[in-house]
Amino acid sequence: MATREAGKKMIMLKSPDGMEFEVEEAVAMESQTIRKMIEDDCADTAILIPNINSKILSRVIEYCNKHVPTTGATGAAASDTVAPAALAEDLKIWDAEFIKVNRATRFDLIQAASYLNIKGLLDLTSQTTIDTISDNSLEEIRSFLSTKNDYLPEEEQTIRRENQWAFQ
Amino acid sequence: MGIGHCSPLSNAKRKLPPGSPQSTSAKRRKPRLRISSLPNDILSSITSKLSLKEAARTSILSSQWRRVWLCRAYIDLSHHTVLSESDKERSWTGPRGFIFNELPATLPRLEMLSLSCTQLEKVDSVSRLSKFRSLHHLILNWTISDSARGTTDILDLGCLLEAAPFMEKLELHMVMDHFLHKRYCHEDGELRSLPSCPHSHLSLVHISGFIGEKDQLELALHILHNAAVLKALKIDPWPRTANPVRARVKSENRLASGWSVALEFLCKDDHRNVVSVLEDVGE
Repeated sequence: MATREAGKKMIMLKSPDGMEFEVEEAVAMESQTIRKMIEDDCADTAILIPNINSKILSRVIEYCNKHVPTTGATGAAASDTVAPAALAEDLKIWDAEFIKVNRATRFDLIQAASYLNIKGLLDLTSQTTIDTISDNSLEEIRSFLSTKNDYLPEEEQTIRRENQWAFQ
Repeated sequence: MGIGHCSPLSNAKRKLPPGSPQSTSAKRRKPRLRISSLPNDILSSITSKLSLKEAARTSILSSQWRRVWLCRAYIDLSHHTVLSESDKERSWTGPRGFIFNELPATLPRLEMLSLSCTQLEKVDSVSRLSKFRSLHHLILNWTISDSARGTTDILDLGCLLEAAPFMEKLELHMVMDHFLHKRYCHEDGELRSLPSCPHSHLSLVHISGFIGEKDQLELALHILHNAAVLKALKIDPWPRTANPVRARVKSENRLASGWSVALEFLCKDDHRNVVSVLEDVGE
């Protein structure tokens, strides 16, 4: 068992607005993008994360901290001591709380999760959008997505014809 | 969902579903960030989690969304994914017309295609399509009924090598559900062969339901001769399919002819030692 802190490699992440976040390497490596940088030895000093402001980046780190497989201040693998089912349930509740954010923040998080390639976070943040698309009428979806119908009537006809099977 | 029936003019009376985030503030002011500002690849990753039909319906949202749904890596075409609950009674003969007439002409990121059908009309037009450019895994579940057998030529599928030049894995699961089974033998005449079509990616092929009929053998030989980097060609007389299989399909006689035809005619041409014929007849 690794002793606390000792031997844990830390990584510095920098947001474009100048904030720096020191995180454990294992936590940072929840992001496949950062993992690749570390594995390719491009992560000696601080890693600048472009396009993700400090507010969003801190939330992303919060998510990774929670989801990194071996976690907790004890340094012991949490999954060894807690039943996996209970752990999964705990994570689910935590995720549900985590995602209670406004729409702009959620879209920012989707974008961050996509750029940093954190699959769990991308799934979590895009689920509401997926549910909205599958459960609502066209106008409700447009309104949720703030998308305007910019088709001419004849264009719309053409598309309906192209994908006729889907609209039946 | 009611996408198909919603008039585009119903905007004035829109009602957001309960629980929809920010429903009130969205009415008051325009949100600073619109989902449209998300790049198309994120939108595609979202639509690829929807069912095929739901995803296709997003094409009508706006011009930005028109082609977003096509960028999915995996398409499963069967009556479950294409027909809705209400039109289940409509017969699902085959996806050929669907793929070639109804799906738009380009599926740029399609990597894996799974087709289930009972009828595959002549597929000679496949080679003219560039639809399968990025396809690397094709699964074809094909039930050939008695009525269709007469007009079906399995060798037609040979053109898939041309249509999907980067395919690495091909699974062809046939259920030969016809009365008159005829095992190929020398007296049936020369085996036909298609023009040579070297394929430099196909490495794994699994053909199941191989009962040693002439066109089945011809297709297997076509693959064996043209797939330059083939690592394994698995020939399986047993029909591998999720559907209940009728007795005549799995009769001992058919399994035995599949096995012996593969050994006699296919293994003879197997100079790279890639063919394996499964003897195990399943449970």
